[in-house]
Amino acid sequence: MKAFDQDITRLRKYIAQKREIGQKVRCLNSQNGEALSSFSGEGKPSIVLREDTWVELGNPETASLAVVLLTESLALVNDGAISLVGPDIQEAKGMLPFAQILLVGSTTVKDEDYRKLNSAQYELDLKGYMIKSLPSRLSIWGRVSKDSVQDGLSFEVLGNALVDSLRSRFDLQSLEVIFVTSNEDDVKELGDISHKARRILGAMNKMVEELSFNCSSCEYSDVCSEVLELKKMRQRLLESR
Amino acid sequence: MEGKIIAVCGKGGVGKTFLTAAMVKLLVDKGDWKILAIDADPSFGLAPVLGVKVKKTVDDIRNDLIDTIIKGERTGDKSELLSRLDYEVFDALEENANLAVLAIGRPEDEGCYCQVNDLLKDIIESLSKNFDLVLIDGEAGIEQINRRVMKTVDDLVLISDTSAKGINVVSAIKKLVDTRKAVECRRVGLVINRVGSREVVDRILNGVSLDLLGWIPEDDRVREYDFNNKPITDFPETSPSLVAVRQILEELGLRSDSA
Repeated sequence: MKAFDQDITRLRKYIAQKREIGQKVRCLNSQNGEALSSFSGEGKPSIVLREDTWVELGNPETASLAVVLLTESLALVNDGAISLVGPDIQEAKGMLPFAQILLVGSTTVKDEDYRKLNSAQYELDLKGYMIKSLPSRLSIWGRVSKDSVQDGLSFEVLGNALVDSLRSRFDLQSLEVIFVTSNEDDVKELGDISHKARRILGAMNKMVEELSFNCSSCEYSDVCSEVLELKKMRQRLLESR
Repeated sequence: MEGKIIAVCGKGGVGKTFLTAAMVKLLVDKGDWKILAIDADPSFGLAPVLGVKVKKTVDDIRNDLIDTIIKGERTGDKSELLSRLDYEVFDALEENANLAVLAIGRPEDEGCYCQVNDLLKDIIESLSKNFDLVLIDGEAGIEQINRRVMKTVDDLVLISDTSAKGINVVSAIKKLVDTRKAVECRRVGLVINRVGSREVVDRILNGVSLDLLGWIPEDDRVREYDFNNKPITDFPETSPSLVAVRQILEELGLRSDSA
């Protein structure tokens, strides 16, 4: 898929700009599998109640974004990098705006699997970390428990968990994770970059679920005309009918 | 403790909400347990009595979704739908220290959206497993508990005042439970409310086949709080009605004092 290549470039500029204006941008250790093992879940999604919560990420009252940008241009992705713009989990109690962006490089993942890739980012099973999501709105709401923060849960652990989880399910050649928690405006600014992803996901969902191919009345005809992969996907679906 | 689910049912106006709220208050004050109070009465009595403001009900979530379906907008596949409902139900939860309150709202008035109802029920059941105690303030009938909240509870507390109508309703509910036409439960017990004297209780028990969990005496303070719309949170624990509710909790295997 090449549809997101421009968005990835814009994302690089966004990060550089944040650095320039003095935002804290940190590179986290992406080889911390050892820390990860102490948070392996019990096979069922964790619920963290407010009383036990250290910090909420992307609560419905604040800004939230979770998106996967897939590319065949592997060089666009800094494989293994985990970056954080803004405070880490243990540095901020209460509520943080939250963006989770996964840059995925793969020449083998099919366009049709983009939806699965997007959903997979919400399927983490980490002790003391609760995720609620609105996948079609690219919205994520996380809660981190006080106990897990004491045990060392951080964005480094979260990033490593995402890398492990996605690599175990998909054939990925490169994978990079970016978290943004600095402020609401910074997260909302990413809305522009994620706009195409939202439209592409919407169009893919519609194609797969409704099998409706009346382009003249379709709300996604603009993005389908623009994105080659969607045209091809539509063609394949038509042929398979 | 292992999670326990208690539902309170009975005829309208016999004191279901007071009993549920009083149990919640005593158990929340104890502080040891995480408690989920579910307001399944369409008149939304429980939340205000507990001093909680509800911003969204499960029925609001359901209706929003049905509007989406009616307008022909996409709802996504089953997993997308489940994520959305799970997110919305969690957002509807009002949390305050060790108490969380979920309001079910009014029953549906048109159309059959069984899949949505089933998903919502699954989500509520799954959410309930994260609490030590779940207390449900049921509506006047009993059908809605297994239709809209959950299909199995541990204890079904049937409450009546001393009126024949109230007792007839709890007897009818007991029959439905015995014939498996209502919520499934491990134990059914009776609470008699607004009792003038113990003799009245004995007289009532002669005519019904229900185990007595306890009785609550007439208490002017309950009427005063009700009349003035005051939350139960500052209701004195030494009042005769709360002393009686504490004994009922003990009958249910729940000690509400800190001993």
